[in-house]
Amino acid sequence: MTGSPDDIRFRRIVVALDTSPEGRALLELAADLATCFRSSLAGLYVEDEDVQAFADLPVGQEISFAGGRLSDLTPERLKSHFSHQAALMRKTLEKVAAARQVEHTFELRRGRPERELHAAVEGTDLLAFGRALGAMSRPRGDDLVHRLSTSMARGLLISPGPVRAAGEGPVGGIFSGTPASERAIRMASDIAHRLRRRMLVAVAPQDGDPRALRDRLAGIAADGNTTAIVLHVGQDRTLAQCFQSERPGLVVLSADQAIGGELQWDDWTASPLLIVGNRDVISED
Amino acid sequence: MSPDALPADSLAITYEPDRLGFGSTDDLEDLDEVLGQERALSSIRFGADIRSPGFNLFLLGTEGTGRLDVVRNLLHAKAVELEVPSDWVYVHNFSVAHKPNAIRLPPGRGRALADAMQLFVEDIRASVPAFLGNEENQSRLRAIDEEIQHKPEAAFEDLRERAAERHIALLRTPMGFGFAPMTEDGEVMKPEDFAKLPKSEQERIEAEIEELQKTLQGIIERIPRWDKERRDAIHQLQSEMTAIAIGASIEQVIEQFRDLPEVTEYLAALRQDLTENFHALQLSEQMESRADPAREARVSTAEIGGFDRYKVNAFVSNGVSAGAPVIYEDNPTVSNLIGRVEHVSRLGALVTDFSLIKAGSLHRANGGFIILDAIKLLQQPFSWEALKRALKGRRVNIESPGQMLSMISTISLEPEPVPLDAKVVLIGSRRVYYLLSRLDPEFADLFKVEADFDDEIDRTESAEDLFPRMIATRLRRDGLQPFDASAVASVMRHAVRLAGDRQKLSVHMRSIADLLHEADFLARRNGADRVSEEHVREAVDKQIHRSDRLRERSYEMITRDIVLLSTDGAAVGQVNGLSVLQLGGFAFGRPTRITARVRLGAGKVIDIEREVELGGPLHSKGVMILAGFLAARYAVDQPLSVAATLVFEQSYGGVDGDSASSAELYALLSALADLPLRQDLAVTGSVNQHGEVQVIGGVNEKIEGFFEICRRRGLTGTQGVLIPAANVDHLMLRDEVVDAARRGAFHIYPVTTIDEGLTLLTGRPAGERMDGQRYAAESVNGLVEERLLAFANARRMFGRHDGDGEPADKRP
Repeated sequence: MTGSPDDIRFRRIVVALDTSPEGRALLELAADLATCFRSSLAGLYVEDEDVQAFADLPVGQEISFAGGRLSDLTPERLKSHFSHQAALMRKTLEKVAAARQVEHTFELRRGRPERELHAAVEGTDLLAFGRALGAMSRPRGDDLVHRLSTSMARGLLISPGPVRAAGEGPVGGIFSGTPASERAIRMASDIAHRLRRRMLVAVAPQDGDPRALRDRLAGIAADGNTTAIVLHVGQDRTLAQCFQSERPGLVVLSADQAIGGELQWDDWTASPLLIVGNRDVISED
Repeated sequence: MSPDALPADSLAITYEPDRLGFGSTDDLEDLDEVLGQERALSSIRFGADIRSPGFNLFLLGTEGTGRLDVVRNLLHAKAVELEVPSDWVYVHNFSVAHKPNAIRLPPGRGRALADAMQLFVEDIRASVPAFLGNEENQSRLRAIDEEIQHKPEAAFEDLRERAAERHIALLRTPMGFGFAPMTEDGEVMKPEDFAKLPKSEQERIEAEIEELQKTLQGIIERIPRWDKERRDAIHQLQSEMTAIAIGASIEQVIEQFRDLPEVTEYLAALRQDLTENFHALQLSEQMESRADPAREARVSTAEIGGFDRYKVNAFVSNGVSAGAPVIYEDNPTVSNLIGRVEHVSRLGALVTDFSLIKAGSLHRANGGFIILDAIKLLQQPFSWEALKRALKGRRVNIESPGQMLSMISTISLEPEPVPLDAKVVLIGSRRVYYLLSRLDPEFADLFKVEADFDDEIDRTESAEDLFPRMIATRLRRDGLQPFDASAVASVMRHAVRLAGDRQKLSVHMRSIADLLHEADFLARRNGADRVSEEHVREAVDKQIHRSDRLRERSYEMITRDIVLLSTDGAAVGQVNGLSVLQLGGFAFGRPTRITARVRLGAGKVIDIEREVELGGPLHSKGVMILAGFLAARYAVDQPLSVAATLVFEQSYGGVDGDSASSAELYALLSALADLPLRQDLAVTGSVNQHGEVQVIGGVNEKIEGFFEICRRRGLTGTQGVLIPAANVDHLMLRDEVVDAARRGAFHIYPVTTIDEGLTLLTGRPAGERMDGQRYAAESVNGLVEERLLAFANARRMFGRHDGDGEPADKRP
């Protein structure tokens, strides 16, 4: 761990834009973080070249999700769709950023979304994406996160399930006593402090005395000047149940916690996740 | 023969305080019975006892006779002997929500059920969600959710893998999905590469894509079904878990009411409804709670969307009652009578549910009695019809006036009717009773028992013994000072005067009670510790004084000769008649000059009052009788050849009644005989065709009216009033009139026939027929006869015939 809460920040946040409600919620949350950390906000919209190629094929027919109707996907229609979506995304980004007075840029790329995201990770402290990858089925979110996390610099902000709105809920975290979880808790504490929110921490001891963990947590949380509510995660109580009474507006996890098997991915269906990378998560100016 | 004036002692009855047998009302015991109303009481007891349908009561009689108090006391006495009636509750109807069910329970159990269900609802609100949220139940729910939720995901994944095996990619497109051939590198094949493929290969790929598309369409079509399967499975599991969760609570309530099949049946339906709908109701409450933070304050009154549908509306509770109810409904509006369904405003709309059903007085009186004022009932729109419908159908159906008129087309509540077993007692006047009997054919079927309250009783020895006790009882009940014997005697005299008959005592309790209160007030104001005769007299005088402004004005007009009335001297064709004016509760006599003029004519007596439509039918009848009398007495064998006019001088209002017909006859005969009549006498009495003077009403007021005029002008010692002899029994004159008579300053003459009156008024004999031929020449009748004969001869001289106008000697 390096630095202190006073000198950390995400310098550049990239948001993969999409038109879903979850995408909009994620954009607003990213903008909030950008405000707190005085970051620049970059909106990225990817025109999927595979879909473009598909539209050019003689077999380019799409089956509508509502009703299963079969129709031709012509290049012209797809081009119009991409153009419309891009304009919409740009407008939404400008509106959200202007409301928070955040410096922002908009970038339109054409390619395969996952590849473009990998490319976007370079030079980025935080990458936010929702349904921007487009695939309905596999690769599932955990696979993608795993692949991205191997190359990401600082952190991923994702929305694994339907998110109604970023909301005003507390910032959540899980403390299992590992260095990675401690880093995540510090990050959560700092974000809670900046967003002026309370903090909910679930204590999930992998072994050892939960009381000792709580004592350690008190010291870590106090650094962020936040209120910590300790929730015990035991074998008979899942994390989702711990947070059932009060749903966090954002949960900060380490990559190990998110994809390392420490927790069940299915626990995360309600709150946006900020997954802190394995490399240094806190940068120094 | 002229009759002698009545002695003073016969002008009023007196009660000697010394002979009453007590010093004051403190010496008297309470009177438990109701004086003089045996017939009415017997009817009420009969009506209260008989339970057959239609035997409801109508108490008729004069206002102020104390009917309400009497019937209340009797019914309360009867009610304590009867069983305490059942409780009634309204509960939600799980089959038809807008038709709440009514359940009958033993007294006190309705409230107990409501309390038990209140606790039950509070319990399930807290305990069931906790039970459903425990780890085990949540795991089961999640398992179902995941199992079914993963079906489409697995189907898509399977399809994606099957496609990948054939080098075909499943892509997300703007509106859905598409299948595209892939290169060996896993990228979507470029169009130009696809075009380079052999035709057969292209067709193979197209065929495979077509097959995959059909499979995908099948998956998409199955998605709604999977969703429904998921919901059904979750609902099923939630129902099972809810059934377990509520089991103990509901069993506790069932155990408490196991002896009541209707309640246990309802609880079984409740259990099923709650089991099936718990989750939906919980969501409904949560949504309402989020929508309106103040909801908690309203939960107990209006909510039906959540668990409040399981509460119980304790509609009628008789848990603390002793015996059957006796209800007096003072304001019998239709909703007060048959109940109502109230509404509350919610987000600008009026909403209601079974908890807002309010009982009417008929519901509360069920098993007992309800007392209603007939006039108030009839004045309220729809109330009479609603009452009849309830009595005919023997059940109370809550309907708003809007529903009755079919003006409301939206669904409102239609509560299940409640069986009615209440005895209805209507209180009204005789007029209302007879009008209803005549105009409403259903009335006789529904109110078979008539209880007729008299407002006067026979002045028997027994009644005179009990009357003071009745006064004493009333004094103590109303917290008034005791009355000494002189005061009681004075009240009794007043009661006789109120009855207007010396053989009767008035039991018009309101009038008597008013007098008691006023005398008590005057005594207290004078510092007396008991009420004596002087206080009662003063109270009577003040009652009159408060009401006699118009009387004073009327008498003033006469004494100032603005209204012409002579009280001395004599005049031809002119007599002092007497009438009574009734103004509210106060009546007074007013003397009126009546005049008659005669001339040759065809036997017609013209009543000017009638001609100008100021005379009523009874008055006209009296005048027509005069013509009959004249013709039969004086012109049996010759045409009655007179034309007479009769008028009440300076009378500008309506005149009715025949009590002035004797006076009119005296004036007419005076005019015919050309004999002056004494103006120091006034006359009252009706007359028949035989010349007999008949009884009239208001004799005391009439005498006192003429007396007062004479007194103001100065009594001459000759003045007096001719009254029908049959009215002597009704005389109950004020003391000052009696005193004047005793001094010989004023005289009351009882008259039986017109001839007696003529003798008094003219000072000469009326005259009798001599040998059945002619009246004595100088008698009054002789002069009348002579004049009429002269008229007849004159008429003959004129030779006129009815109708043709031709002289008699020119007729063939």
